[in-house]
Amino acid sequence: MSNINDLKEQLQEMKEQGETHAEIISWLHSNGHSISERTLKRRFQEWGLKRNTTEPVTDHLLNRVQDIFQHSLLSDVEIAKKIADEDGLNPTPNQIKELRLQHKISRRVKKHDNNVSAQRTTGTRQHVQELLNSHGRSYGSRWIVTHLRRKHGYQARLADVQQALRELDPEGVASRTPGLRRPRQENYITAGPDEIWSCDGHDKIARFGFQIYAGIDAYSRKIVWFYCGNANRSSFSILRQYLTAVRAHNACPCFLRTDKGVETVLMAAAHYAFYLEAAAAEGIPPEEVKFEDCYIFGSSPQNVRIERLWLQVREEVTSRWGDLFTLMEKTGIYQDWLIADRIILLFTFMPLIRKELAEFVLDKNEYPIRPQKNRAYHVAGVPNNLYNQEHDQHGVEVIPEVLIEWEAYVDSFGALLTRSPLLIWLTNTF
Amino acid sequence: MQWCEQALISIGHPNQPAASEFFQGNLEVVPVWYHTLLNLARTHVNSSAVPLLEEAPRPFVNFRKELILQICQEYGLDPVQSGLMLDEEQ
Repeated sequence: MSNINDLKEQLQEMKEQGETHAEIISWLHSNGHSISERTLKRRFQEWGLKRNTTEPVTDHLLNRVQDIFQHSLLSDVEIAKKIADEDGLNPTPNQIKELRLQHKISRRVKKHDNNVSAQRTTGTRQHVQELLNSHGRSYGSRWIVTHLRRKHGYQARLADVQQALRELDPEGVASRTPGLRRPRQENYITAGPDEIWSCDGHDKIARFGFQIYAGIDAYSRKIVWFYCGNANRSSFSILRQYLTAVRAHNACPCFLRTDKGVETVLMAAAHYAFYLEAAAAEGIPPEEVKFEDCYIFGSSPQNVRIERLWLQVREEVTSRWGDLFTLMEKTGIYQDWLIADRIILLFTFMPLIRKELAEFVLDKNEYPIRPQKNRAYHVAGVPNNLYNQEHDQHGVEVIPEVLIEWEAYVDSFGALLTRSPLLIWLTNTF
Repeated sequence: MQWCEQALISIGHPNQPAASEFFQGNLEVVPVWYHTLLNLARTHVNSSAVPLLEEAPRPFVNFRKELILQICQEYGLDPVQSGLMLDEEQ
């Protein structure tokens, strides 16, 4: 058997061309050289051969690493992937880590560094105090960590936040502490992003005029649209929301999952129309496409994805506002049969609640879902990343002409609504 | 909306309302200016003065049956068999 030292140049060339160790060993084997991977690695080390996979460090790369690190909770692997996807650069996770450490962008403070640690504890306490003072939202500790990182680029330690919350908001902590839980409904299986959008309305503060409707991607748990206004029981409004979401995401899901509420009918019709046209474009005749091929009706409690979202919305945002409005109602400050009361309530609180819900949606889409090894079909990760992953995309491409046609329909009906006294009367009556 | 904004300024609250004005610690509170604004609005509505205060119209709700029939006709579908016509529509 000849010595593989004689093949050094050839092996170097293969290594530089990006061939893996397994491929090189296979090639050596076919040429009569039997060698283990460990030996091959040792030889490469002795020869000083190393595949150059790192990206040159530029200000742009450094800024991107700093920016992503400070405004998200992504790991080094996820940061590398995000930069590759969005900037076309190819840094390795190790390079990201080296860059971070060189520039003292660390994930945790060393335990013996008491001064820095105490400063961060104080800083976190101030941030938590400001949040509690400025919002009607009721934040849990993990939500605060995500919110501070996303909005302010501030890196708070979970333990500091928990301590601050125990001191500053003991009632809030107690209200969020789980009591007896009902048995959990198991996950349903979803193959990937845009396979199912789960949609429903949230009526916690609806009787005060704040009606909420949303759609969530069942796989990634990304909120694909969120509405807060005066019409979550209007099929026309839901249709408009759905068309806006389809336009924004440039696709519709394979399935919509809703309850059998009257408000879903037009959305169902539009979704079916998109699906029929997409099927026709692939040569499938309309009579072979059934409604249930693209739509799932089910009772609200079974729609677990959106119900979970409503639980979070209630805990974080609407519960506290609901308490305030109930107090106003009981003390006669809000009397729902008086138009003046309804108008002043909407004028004062609609912008505040919308703002808090918008913040909630941004936080939620960046909030990392933890792994749960005991739950079947559980998908862990950050919703935004899971939704944008390149593999397993399942959306149905919407034929542009059909979407434009439906949008025109909505627009023309909106114009009709503003013109016709009869329709205005009907609108107020129903 | 414009009337409300001007009324808010006229009672000495030039800024947009903030959530912190309604929550002090864990207590819900209604500030004095809200009472003033509410009384102003009630008086205005009772006097039938212009501009008339009205809520924004809700998008039209109850036209689904006709639309579905139209869609089914357009696509050559049976409204019931296709599942587009719900139980309450039948």
